[in-house]
Amino acid sequence: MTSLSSLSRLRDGGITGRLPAAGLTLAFVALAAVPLFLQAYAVGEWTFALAFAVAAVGLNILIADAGLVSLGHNAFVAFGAYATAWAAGRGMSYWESFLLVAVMALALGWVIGAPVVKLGHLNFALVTIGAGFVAPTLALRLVSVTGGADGESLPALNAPGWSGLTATAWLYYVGLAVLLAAVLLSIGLRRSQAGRALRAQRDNEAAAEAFGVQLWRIRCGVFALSVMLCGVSGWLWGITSSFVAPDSFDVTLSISLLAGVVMGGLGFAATPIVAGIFVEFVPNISSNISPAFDGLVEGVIIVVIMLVARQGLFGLLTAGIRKLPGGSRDGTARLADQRTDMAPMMSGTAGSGSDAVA
Amino acid sequence: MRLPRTRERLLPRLRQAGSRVSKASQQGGDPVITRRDSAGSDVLRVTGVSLSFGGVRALDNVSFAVPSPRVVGLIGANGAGKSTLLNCIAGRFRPQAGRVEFYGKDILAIPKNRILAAGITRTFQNLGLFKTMSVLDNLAMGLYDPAHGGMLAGSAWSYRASHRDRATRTAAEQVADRLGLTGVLHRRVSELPYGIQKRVELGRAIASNPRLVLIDEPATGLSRAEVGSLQGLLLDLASGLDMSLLVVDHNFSFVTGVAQEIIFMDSGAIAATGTPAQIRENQMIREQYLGRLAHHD
Repeated sequence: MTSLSSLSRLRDGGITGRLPAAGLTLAFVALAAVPLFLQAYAVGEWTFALAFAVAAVGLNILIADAGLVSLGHNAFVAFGAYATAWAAGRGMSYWESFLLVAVMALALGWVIGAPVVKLGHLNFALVTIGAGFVAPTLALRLVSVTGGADGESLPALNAPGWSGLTATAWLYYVGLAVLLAAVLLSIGLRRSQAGRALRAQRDNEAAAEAFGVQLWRIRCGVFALSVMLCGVSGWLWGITSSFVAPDSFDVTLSISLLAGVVMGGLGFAATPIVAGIFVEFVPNISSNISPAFDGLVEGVIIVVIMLVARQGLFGLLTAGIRKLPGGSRDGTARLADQRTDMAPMMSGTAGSGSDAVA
Repeated sequence: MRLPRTRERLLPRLRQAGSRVSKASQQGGDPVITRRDSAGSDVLRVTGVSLSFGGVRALDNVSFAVPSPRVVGLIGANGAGKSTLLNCIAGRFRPQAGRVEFYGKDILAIPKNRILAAGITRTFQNLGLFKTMSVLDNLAMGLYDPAHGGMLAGSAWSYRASHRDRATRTAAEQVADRLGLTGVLHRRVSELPYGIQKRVELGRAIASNPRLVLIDEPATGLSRAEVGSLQGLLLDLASGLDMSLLVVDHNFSFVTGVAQEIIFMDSGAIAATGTPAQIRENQMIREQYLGRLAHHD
């Protein structure tokens, strides 16, 4: 692994350049300070936000880099949470279950992705939303495995004595470390040859194939990676809540994650943090105003941000920095260059062959 | 743009190296050119290739051979089958009959994504660039190696993956330098003028130093000055890198300016072959093709 300071040496790739790297570092420093200023309950809420942010990293990779829109990531978060409960019920430690869940989710992603990524962009989205609808029902019906409507309880995670932290704070820092690893993974992927190939197939399938990209393999791989991150998100969610039940993972979770990622700005490394905060806190704000207006605040925020910042909050920020005196193309400008155009992928026309029959 | 060799300096060499075009062969599938390269295999041999789309016969028993590294021009009217033939050679279309051999290897048996590894690259009729990516990343894709494109290695910041990526970028920068693209290396390609985009696409095609480059309509949409510059560039590439070029274009003067041999296609079949001079003198081509294109040139 490479330290955060090395990010400043990177070139190209959306989240690189000195300013974004500095911004990302500051964001993590700010997140690290959260337990110092908040009560235990609020810290617990922030841990849930970190869990959702880990899932958002996976979704961000899938949409921004691969051009595949998934609406079924709630199913994979649920898988991770239930797998953690299952492992805990068999006496595994949380560290053992972390590895187990990551590997199982990676395998699940391959198994599901293998046939699904061949279907084309729109059909892929539809199949994943199908998985999103099915998952809570399965969790409800497979009582012997999931506990049905009663759910499954998990033992609490205790902080080790050497840390000097409360259990809540320890859990929060575990979540922060997992999110940092996930973000670094996404940056590593984006700057690698595989990341370049992913963006290439997103932009132009025919050309990517002509230059050696095996479409099925690379799409299946990125989907599996995305599902793995969702599984890890579910693991974190499970040990944070100590209780797993079907109603926590309905398809609105996927829609909220998607909205959060788009609002943050596709392809930006810090976007998952925005998405996690959006998924965890905005529905609560909405409910606190009045249960009768459930969803109102979320809806208004989505509409306003999309009207004001079509490339998301970080896209707006980047455009603003470019307009400042002395704003150069280095760093922040390249960050904007790498943003993903949603229109072609949503219409299923991304990567259409550019050659015609003479 | 660095163009050390002008067309005038190169033409004598090209003529000397060029071989005699024996005859057009539409019926029997015999190769047009019979001389072979030193290794005993033709660079490219297309034998009896036919392809239909629904009821439309796009290619009809097409046969020709390129025996040694050279620039071959493929001309013909719209719908003549030029790009379809190019797509068959590139592995994009699978013909219903016939063979396409590259240095003796059956190209049609190779998956589309292995064509680059076999030594064939291409450009696209309406540009096939990766539009949201930078010039550098587009050029680097020309050096993509699927055997070392591991997603997990890249995600885990492995030393080998980083080292390989640095080497790829360095090689891409060298290609950019050769094509005069250094100044726009980090620009997003969709922001660049069309002529520069064409050059980026060509750079991507030659980045891996392939043995055959299929170039589809390179002069389309370019100004006269840009066409002249492109001509010199292609001649430079063909002579300097020991690669063959198969150039498809409507622009007759452009193609005859760069190609040593010309294949003229009409209605999915090869109607004539010859040197640029022979093609210019061909009465049938003068009447059917050049007359129609006079307005376009």
